[in-house]
Amino acid sequence: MRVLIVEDYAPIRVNVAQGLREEGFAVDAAANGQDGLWFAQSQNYDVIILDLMLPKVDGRSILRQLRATGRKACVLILTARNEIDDRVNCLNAGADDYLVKPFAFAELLARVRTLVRRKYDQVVPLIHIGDLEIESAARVVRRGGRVIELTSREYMLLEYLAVREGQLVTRSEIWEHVYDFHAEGSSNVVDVYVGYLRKKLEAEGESRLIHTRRGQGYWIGEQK
Amino acid sequence: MSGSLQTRLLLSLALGASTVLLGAGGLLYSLIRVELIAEFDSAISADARLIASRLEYQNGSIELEHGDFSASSFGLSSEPVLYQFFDSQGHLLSQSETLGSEDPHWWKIWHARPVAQFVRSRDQSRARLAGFELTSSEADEHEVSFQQSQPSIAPEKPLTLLVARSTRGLDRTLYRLGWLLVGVCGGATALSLAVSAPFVRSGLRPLLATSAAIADIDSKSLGQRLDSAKAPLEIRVVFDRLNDLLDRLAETFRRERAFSANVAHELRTPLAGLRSIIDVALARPRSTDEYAVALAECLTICLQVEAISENLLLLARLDADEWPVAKREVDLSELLRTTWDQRSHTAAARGVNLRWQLESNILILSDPDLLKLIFRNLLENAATYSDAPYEIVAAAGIDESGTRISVQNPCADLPADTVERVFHRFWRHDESRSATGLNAGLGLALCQEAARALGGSLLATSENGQFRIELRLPTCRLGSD
Repeated sequence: MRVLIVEDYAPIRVNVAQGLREEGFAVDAAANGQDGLWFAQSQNYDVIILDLMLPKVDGRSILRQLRATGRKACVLILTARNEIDDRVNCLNAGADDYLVKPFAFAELLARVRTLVRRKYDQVVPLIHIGDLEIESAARVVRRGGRVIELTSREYMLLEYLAVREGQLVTRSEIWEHVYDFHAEGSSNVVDVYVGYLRKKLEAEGESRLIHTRRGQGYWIGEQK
Repeated sequence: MSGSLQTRLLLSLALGASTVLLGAGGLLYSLIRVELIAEFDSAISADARLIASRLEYQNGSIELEHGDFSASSFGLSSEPVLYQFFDSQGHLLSQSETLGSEDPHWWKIWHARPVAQFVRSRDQSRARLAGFELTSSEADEHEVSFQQSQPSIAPEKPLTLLVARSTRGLDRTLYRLGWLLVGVCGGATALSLAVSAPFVRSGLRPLLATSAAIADIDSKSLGQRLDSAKAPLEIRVVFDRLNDLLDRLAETFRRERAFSANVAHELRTPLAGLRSIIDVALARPRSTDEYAVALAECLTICLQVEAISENLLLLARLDADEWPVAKREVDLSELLRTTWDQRSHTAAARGVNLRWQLESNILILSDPDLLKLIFRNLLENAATYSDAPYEIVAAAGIDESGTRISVQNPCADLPADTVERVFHRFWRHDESRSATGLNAGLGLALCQEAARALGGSLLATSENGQFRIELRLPTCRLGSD
């Protein structure tokens, strides 16, 4: 999943971005409101972590503009202001969640994951597709009881396909949601990683779960 | 004198009314007393005329025409009339039978003060004594003519008739009158109080309403204001002053809340940074180098928080005038240059350079620590917030009014009407809380307090794209007259 963090205070921005990447998210980071707005309007992020007090363009303005343009990214407000009025105003303005500084990174991570599940209509952090089981909280993948070891990128790809089970996912969508801004672009990198994933999921001769629709994209699910 | 205004007004009314009534009553009593005494004296005079008309003087003795009259014959009341006749030498010629042989010494009393007066009669009761001279000349109030039948009385040998009458009845009348007046005054006072009370209450109603309105105002309702247009004239100024006070109180509370919120905010952000670094570092096993980097970042943040808290403490001490100003000889030029040198590398990295406009030999008596604090903040701000072409101008000089030091930098987007806010605590031109600068928006507030502690002032201006801060000190050059 792809996350944008817009935070001018470098220690928070850099470390939260690092922590999220280590947890399997594709993360872009902006140090001011102007850059943050540009990022948010040019990409389809799953979650935007947004500080309120930003240079150049403040967080509230960014939130208003995103909602005005119909952007569906989940927005988690990050701020030092803890007044009820501030929280209510932000939530009424279209934010999906609110976290007060200082915060535990584990809590931030849990809230981001919750927002992702909500976005893809997942009720619990456990995905079943046939005999495939994905525990998103623990990042554990099993098929028929067999634990499958995946790299971070492979897991991110599998998770994205899984939350859109049965839906056709284009290569560009995969690119947007699994790779961050700084990832090296290559036209077939998605195909390559899909190949890696298939190999691991079908290592013991299990049935295919990731299917190709030529010229359009991929979809995951049991072949009927 | 405390107590309710209503009670005080009613008591004042009672006091005023009783004073007026008692005064009027006293005057009335005095007038009536004078009249009654005059009437009494007239009665005595009538008695004397009657006595004189019955007088016969034969062979050197005095006899009343009809013999010895009992006093009651003469008395207009039941009290006997007492009289004495004296010749011109003061020898007693005759007196009323009621007196017997007793001499009440009226001659002496009359001779000492020949006016109608109160005396003590034989039984020590009060009496009124009047004297009359009997001659052959025309009768008037004090001269009674003799009857025609006694031509042998020589006119040059007048007789003195002293007549006294008990004033028991008069005194009783006056006594009753006095108490009657006291009773009437007291009753009138009480009645006026009773009648006035509802009017006083009604008159005080606006004040009571005001008092209730003020009582409703507390720290949570400082937005309420009193409507002075509806207030009585006498207390309108109180309303206006109270409204002013409420305005200032509300502003003070707002700034206090803002200050507390700002302090919390300023500390929360670096604490959040610390926590993020530590949380992520501990989330999984890392190399020693990674831990070292994380710890170094934590240390940097700790130093920032330390700087913020030091500034807050310094500000609190300056606010409370607890900074001991220690004046010494200070070379301003030297201090300015030294302060800049410590920052010149950082400024150079940003492409900022400094132009000096310093007078020579600026030696003054001042506190070098406070001056250094001010110079450091001014130069740091100028270097940090300078716009292109990134040239700062630092000037210092002394004139008749004192010492002036100024720092100026290009700054295009600071409107002139917001310039005063640069001295507000935690104010930043850009409202973001990025950690550029260690002062968290406290630097210029500190400078202002430091300038005040030095007896000087700080002035900020923004004109023609230049932001300028000038420190003015009432300190003259050392060694000048």
